[in-house]
Amino acid sequence: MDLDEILRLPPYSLSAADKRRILGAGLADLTRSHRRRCPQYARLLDIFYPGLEDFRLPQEAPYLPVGLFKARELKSIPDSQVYKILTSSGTSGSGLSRIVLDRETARRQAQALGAIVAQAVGPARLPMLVLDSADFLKDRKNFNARAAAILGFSTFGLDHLYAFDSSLSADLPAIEAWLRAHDGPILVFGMTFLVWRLLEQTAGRLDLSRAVLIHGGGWKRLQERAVTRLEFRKALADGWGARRVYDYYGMVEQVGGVFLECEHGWLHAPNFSDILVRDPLTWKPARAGETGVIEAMSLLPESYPGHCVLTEDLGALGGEDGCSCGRRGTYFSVSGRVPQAQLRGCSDVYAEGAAA
Amino acid sequence: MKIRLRVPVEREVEPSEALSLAAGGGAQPFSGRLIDFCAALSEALLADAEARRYPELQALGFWLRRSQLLSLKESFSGLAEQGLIAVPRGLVFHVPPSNVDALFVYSWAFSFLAGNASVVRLSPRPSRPTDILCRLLGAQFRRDPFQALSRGALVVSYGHEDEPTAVFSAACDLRVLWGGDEAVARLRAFPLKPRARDLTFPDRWSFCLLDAGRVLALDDAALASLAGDFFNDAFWYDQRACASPRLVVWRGAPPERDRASARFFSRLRETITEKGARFETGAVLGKLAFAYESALAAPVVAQKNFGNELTLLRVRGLEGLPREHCGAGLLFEAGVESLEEAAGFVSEKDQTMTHFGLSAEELRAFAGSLNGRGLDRLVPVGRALAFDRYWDGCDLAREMMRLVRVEGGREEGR
Repeated sequence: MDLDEILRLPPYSLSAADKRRILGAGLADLTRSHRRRCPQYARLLDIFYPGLEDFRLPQEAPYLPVGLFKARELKSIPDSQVYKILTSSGTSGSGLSRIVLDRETARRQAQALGAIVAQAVGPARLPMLVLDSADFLKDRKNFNARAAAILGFSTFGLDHLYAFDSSLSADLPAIEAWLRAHDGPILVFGMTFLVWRLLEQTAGRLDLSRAVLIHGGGWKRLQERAVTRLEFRKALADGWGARRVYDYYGMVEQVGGVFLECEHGWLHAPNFSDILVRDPLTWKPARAGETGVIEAMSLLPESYPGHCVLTEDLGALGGEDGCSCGRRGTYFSVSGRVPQAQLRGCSDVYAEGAAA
Repeated sequence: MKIRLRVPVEREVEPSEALSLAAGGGAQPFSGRLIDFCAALSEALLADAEARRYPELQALGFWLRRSQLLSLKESFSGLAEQGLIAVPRGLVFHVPPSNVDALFVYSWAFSFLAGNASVVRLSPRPSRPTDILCRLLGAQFRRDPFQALSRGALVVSYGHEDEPTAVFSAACDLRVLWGGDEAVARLRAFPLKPRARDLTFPDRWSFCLLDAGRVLALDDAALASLAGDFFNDAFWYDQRACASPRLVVWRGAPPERDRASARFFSRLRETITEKGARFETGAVLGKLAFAYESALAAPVVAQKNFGNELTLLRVRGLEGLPREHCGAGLLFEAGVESLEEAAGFVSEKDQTMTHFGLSAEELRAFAGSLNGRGLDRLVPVGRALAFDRYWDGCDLAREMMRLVRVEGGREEGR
């Protein structure tokens, strides 16, 4: 099955066993093809995977540390085919990841995302409330992950309204007017911390009970404010009446193959991407329920060698095919980022100030 | 704004108040009470149950013992004959690195023994060893014979606020800056008095040079001891001290080098297991990204992974090796036929070369041939982190003093 065939399937249709076979073969193809087209990737394989042989299981595929994309622009296409460059939003860490896309990869990312969103929202495009400011999207040349996510998801809505002004204050009268103008189901999308921000500004004053709310981008800022997932869901239900709320887990290194939360609170891998939880001592796959470092795998990256990326996120596998929501494939949870190492040594006096 | 005073007592103070507490200090260099104080601190460090859990604090306690202090004093005894008298500089402002916890005491102790008043700026970042040091220092100053000396050691902590740094910089006679290049540059921007000066200890890089034949000739016990010494050099401070070796250079013929490398690193791996060294997952992931990045930026030809705690990156040659590092147990590895071949690689960034299997004569010739192009310390494996008055090419003890020329009149001699 080639990638375009896989993309045409309903996104959670493959059983774990089929998926393992198809994903393994796809990742092996990608590994060979990137090795041929990206000299830097070839060099890394020579050094870190000497004698790498053909593999069949996804867990055997060589992976790159996500931090490498912050240091290096890795691409498997000539400059003339570069269509756009995604950058990470950079809330943590020093450098920004730079991800090079050609038209094909960008198109498949959009198609993949569309299939996932359609599962949650239904096939029809809905009026869409974007929990961000329109100003944030001005620079279209270099998208960061937040802008890329908004633009990516925006194509699945219509008659968009941006909820915030440039200082991230909610324009409540405009939102109310927009809600009056659209009386059916609506799509609400935003970064998790901006959902919370809007809730703080409008709880009890907005009715979003007919919304499908999709949010992502991480819990870091909410964790800092000690808001748990449960509290978040409850607050959204209490404050807005919003009950169809879906978190997603994704990263700029693998746009498109996002992992969307189901009604039972598990994140699900679609057919064309997957995760593996690795034990941080042995780096072998961990058993279900064991927390480890998440490796994200995707069949979409054709223009850059990001098909297997070891993230800096911690998570645990829930299981395969057995979620009560009925979706097939891997389901899992993310518990946060790997704590930054407290560096010792003598080069770091005042270093924390340079970032502030 | 208020900053936190940590020694002699814990309380909040204005920077100007801290300054007034330090003012008017000043004792004769190496006078009896200064030495008594440091010797008492040494005893406290070596006896304190909590301090005994930290090898770096024990090393400090050992370094501050009375005999050591007396020989330091003795080293200046020849000044009188040269018509010189050593006097304190006045007020010394120390900005030590935030995470080589014990280092601030070394920097301060030279200043204190020379009779200066000191203000030490610590990072507010929590650190157990630092807390212990502040507690023991404070306790000494509360003891009867030492109360009057507390002006000589004001320890404060604050973040990156400009105000206290500006106040202390404007008042001091010597400012001692440790840290990354950027940090040093930022701190140097705060004006000093016209006659005051900076002593800077910016980022450095260090490596280890081993003679392959001599390592192969070791019996198992001697090899274990060498690996233990190397472990201390490389793994204390998570391999992030300036003097921590980040590169191992083998001297010898290629086949010999390979055999020595295999023997040494498999032994080192055992040592790592024996000592139970473990890095946090965050550090391991940082190391992984750094290793991949280095494979693209440096002439890396092979990688060997000995688990989470030790990764070797073999490089084709020494040329073009960037002086960057992630810490957490990553070693570049290279080979040379001769010391001369290694000399070409040395740069001003290089601070310490630890060595094994080289004669003193060879080392002197090597240092002489470099002639200041790099390397301020050539010390045996195991001594990389042994702090010493001679650091980064200067004599810290001497830098804390001014020398007064005293020339008698002609008539006196007759």
